[in-house]
Amino acid sequence: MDEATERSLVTRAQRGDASAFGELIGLTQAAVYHVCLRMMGERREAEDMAQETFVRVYERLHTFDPQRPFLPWVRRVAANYCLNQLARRAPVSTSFDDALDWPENRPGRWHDRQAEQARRVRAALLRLAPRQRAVVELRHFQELSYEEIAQALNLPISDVKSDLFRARRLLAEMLKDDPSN
Amino acid sequence: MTHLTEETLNLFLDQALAEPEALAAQAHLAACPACSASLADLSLVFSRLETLGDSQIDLDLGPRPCSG
Repeated sequence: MDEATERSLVTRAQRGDASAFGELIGLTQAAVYHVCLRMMGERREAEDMAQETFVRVYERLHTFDPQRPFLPWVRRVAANYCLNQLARRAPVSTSFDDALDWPENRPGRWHDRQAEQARRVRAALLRLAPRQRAVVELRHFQELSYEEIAQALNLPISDVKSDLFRARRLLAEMLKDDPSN
Repeated sequence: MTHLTEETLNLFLDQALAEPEALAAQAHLAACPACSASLADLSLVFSRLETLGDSQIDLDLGPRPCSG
């Protein structure tokens, strides 16, 4: 979709055009779902979080500047929403197996080695503390700068760096014994 | 030889070092197997995370506000 079409959809949605907002959902829902799946780790929960993300997007749509790209904003809302939900919960020890409905567990879509790598990375990501996970999401998948992450999560840059660098160290340790290295 | 700090290695991979510091880090890495190994461990994290990108999936999410 070109920028002019996106701007037009956003402007129409801001004026209350439900079909325009529906189109925006259709265009961004897969990306939002993947943010939520990386943050939450479970398909149904990721779908719920993605739906709740769009509720929040709808509520805040009037604050969005249509001159800016829509998808990065929606993905940030999703990451923030998931982080807030995770932060409210008691930490849980999670076990992962092939039964989880992750994209890499669906037959026929991935090569075996690639799927195994993806499973290991997703499981490692889910062992990080929620804020570390959010910082990794925003840096590695949404390609935000340290400053932009600090702004998105309302944190000092020093905390962003500290969380990110520690998360990478933990991931490196968890992935180091990966037989596919 | 003073090794590169974890922060410098991360900033180097994020391309967040100023040019003189980036060049100095590059020169150190060329001469220091220990720091090169640490950088390789970190680089592996970067490449592994790429396996979890946004793949195409069939979904129908989100509230659909009623028209009218």
